[in-house]
Amino acid sequence: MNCQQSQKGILDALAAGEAKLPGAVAAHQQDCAACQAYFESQARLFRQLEEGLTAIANEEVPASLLPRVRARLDEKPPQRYSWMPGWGLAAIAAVILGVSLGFVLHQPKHHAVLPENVSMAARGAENPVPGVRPPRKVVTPSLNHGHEHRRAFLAAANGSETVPEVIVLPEEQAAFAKFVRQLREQQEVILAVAHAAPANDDLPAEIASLEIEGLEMKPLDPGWE
Amino acid sequence: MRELVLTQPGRALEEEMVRETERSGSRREFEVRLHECGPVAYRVAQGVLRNRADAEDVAQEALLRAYRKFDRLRDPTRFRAWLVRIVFRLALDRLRSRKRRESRETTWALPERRPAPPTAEDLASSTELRARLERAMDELPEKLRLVLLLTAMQGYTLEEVSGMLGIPMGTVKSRLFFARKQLAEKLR
Repeated sequence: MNCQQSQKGILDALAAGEAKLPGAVAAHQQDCAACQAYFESQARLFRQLEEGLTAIANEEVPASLLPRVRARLDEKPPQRYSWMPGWGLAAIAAVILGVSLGFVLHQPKHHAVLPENVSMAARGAENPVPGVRPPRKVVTPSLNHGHEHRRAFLAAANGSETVPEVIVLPEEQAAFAKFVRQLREQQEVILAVAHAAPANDDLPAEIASLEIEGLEMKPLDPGWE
Repeated sequence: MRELVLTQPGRALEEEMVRETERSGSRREFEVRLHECGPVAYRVAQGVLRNRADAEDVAQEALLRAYRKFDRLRDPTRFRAWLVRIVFRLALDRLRSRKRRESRETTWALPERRPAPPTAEDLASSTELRARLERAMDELPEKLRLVLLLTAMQGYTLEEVSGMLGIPMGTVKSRLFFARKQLAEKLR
């Protein structure tokens, strides 16, 4: 064991509060005056440390402590500090809710102006194709407003000021541009497509009974199979 | 002729009496604990703060908090450990706020009002050693500091400290070892 190892062993033993040094350290110390001196100085330091700690940890308790605590046992606990009363929080919550609702209700609906076969999604707006204007106004089509819808569409076809605008997907932009170019020539077709179907279109058609000259038609006997 | 009406104490009144009885029983029990543990509370606070007035305030506050929540303590034998943790936490909070305040004051103080550096005589004196020890303790991690304080208190064995902090004996011993070693290095 060299002096460095011995001194480390001395420190560890003192820090652990060991009564005796480990055998090897003690053996080295008997033959090494430097380590013996080191042990004495460190033992003195640890002794002072213990004395200081004992003094710090065992301060005399003031006689007034317990009577003061007893005197305050019946006191009501202090109210917790609240930076805002309950109604204030409720008011803030109501305002936030109102603003959120208003925002949601006034969100523009992302529906296309055109019939379903040309309806577009919002992502195509970033790279407009020449001839297709960037989205500025979105018109919501409605079955109940078929005439308005048609007027808007006609106006668009005629190039008036109220041009309806649509949002076009990038992959559909070329086809859409072509469609717009042909719009002026095929107004009737587009109007037919854009026209809302009447409400009774899906009703079953009434079929007239079959009549063939010279042939008598009899209903099938329900009892005959 | 006046009508005499006999009234029976209502259920609410009975419940109030039961609560009052429980309160007085709880208070008696707390006062016993207060007598046993009040000094520990003060010493832990003083060990952290090293200011008698502050330590007394903090110990008082911790004891009152403990009293207000005494009914919620399921295991009364854990009261001492519970109190020690409350007081240690409060003392650390107080110490931090004091340090912040001192730091602000030092920043703005004039140079001539700052304390003079210690002389050789000061360093040699035991008062200075204690001051250095206190400063060194301040720099110890909280866990080590609490173990060091509790084990240095007269009347507490390592087993008791272990039970008080709810940690194994081996952990108490290792924390104590590292705390002493770090202190010795700082004082050397």
